[in-house]
Amino acid sequence: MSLLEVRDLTVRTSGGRTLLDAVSWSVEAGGRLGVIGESGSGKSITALAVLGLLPDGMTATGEVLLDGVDLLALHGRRLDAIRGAQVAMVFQEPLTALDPLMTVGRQIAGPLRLHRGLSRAQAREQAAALCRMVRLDDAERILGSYPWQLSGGQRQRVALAMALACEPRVLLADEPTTALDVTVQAEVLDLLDELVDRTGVTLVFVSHDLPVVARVARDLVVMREGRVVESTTVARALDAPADPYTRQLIEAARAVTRLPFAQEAL
Amino acid sequence: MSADLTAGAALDPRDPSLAPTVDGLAPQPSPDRSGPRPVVARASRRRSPSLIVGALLVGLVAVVGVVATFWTPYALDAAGAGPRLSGPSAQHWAGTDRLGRDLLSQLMGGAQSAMVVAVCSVLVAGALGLTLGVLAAATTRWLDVALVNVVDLLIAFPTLLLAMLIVTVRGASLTSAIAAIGIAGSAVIARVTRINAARVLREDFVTAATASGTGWWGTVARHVLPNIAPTLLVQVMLLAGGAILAEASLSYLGLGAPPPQASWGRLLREAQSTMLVQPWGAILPGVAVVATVLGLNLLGDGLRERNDPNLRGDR
Repeated sequence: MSLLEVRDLTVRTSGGRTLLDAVSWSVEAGGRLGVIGESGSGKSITALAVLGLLPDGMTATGEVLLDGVDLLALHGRRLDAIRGAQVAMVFQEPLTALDPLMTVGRQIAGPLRLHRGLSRAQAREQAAALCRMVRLDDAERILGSYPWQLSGGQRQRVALAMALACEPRVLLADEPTTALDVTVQAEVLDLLDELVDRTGVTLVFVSHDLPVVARVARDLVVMREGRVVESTTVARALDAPADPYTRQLIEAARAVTRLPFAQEAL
Repeated sequence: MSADLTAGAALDPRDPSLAPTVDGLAPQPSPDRSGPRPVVARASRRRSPSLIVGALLVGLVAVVGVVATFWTPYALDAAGAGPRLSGPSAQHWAGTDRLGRDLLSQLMGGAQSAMVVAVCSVLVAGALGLTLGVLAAATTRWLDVALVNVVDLLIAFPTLLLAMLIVTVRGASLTSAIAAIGIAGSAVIARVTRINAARVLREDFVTAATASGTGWWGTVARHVLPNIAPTLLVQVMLLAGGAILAEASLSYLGLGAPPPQASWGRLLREAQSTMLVQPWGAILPGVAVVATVLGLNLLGDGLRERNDPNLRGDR
């Protein structure tokens, strides 16, 4: 049985525009799903809808099943108990996703104190351990810093540490490397890859960047204009894309970047 | 231009641990810190003259007010403590009024009243305004519209009229003045809070906090309030100045605290008829009001200069 299943997820704006049209996919426990599509394809909206984070004026219908429990039907405290503890999220721009007025240490400690009920000192200790886990050396200095005192790569590592703090079962990564430059991007991807292996967290990786997705994901969902155009695996997509749009994406990626063929990818 | 360049560079600093070591050049031990800085960090570096002068003026009045609570040269209601309407002398540094009361003591008592009014009405305005503003920013549209209209009405309603209403119901006292000024000021605080809280609530880090399971109140307390505090602090300073001015106006009109509670506004009114005989009686309380309000406004401006994102060169 799949751990996280999105079934007929439809998102509409209050103006009646349909942003997501009956999107369905699922990911097994320990699986790695890549969701790919151009901007405006609805891939980020999907990720936000899973955790009930849609902006005001957007409504989601359908089902988001975590172990059979429909997250869309949960509200208030019961939803808060899932967010961060069962399903965590990493955002695209780590600078704006971290509070500029709060030290990194307090921000990493936040979910721990919230969900685990740790004391300030315990949470601090745990935060230091998490820093080391995401390969932030000099944990003490990092924990005492404000987000703007860190580099983009360091910030995204902090965001990863925060997301993984409570050992969630699912990690939603919404273009986590898009805002980083290429060398840092590679480092963060390697780290993510390793952390997913080590913690066994189920990964849903949303990106417009096919080479990046091919690097961390096994299964692949291709989205366009709010619909799923193809559900496949990365290997199959690279070898024999079924949908013309997927083929076009892959050819475009091959033309400009270092997208591997299937046998090199996995 | 140069500000833009540094800001851009700092948005994209290399992780020092990842920076390649070229020609034995050691990686920078710390990330680039010359870039955009939030409010807190700048705070300790820039001290504008208006901030210093403002702080000095306000500090002086505050100290005098505190001293007056425990000690004044003469009792505040000691009529006939000296000759009537005398000018400054060794016994009475600021002279006396037409009842022979010591003016310096009255001025000190006035400082105390002004401080009490400023602090208390800011507290009332802050509590009311923050609640209304955060509610308006965070709730459904119709409640927001309703609250905005109430606030607009309150801002349009003359403070003096409101004060007269309250005084009619409750009688003239310092508490009545505080209630009137506090309620009127809460509208301004509510407006500023609403705009800024709405902006912060749209920030990614609020979504991130929600995504990690922080509840609504937790998000407001942990993220929204600290992020709007710098702007509110400026507003609070301006409001405190307005409160002192309003209290002086009320007392001048006879709607303020009755004696023996001293008040600069009442001193002005009492000195009005004897201004030609003993001008100090009118000049000194006038100067006290102006200096205090000016001090608070300067303090507010100084804080604004320090906090204004437009002067910070980022975003």
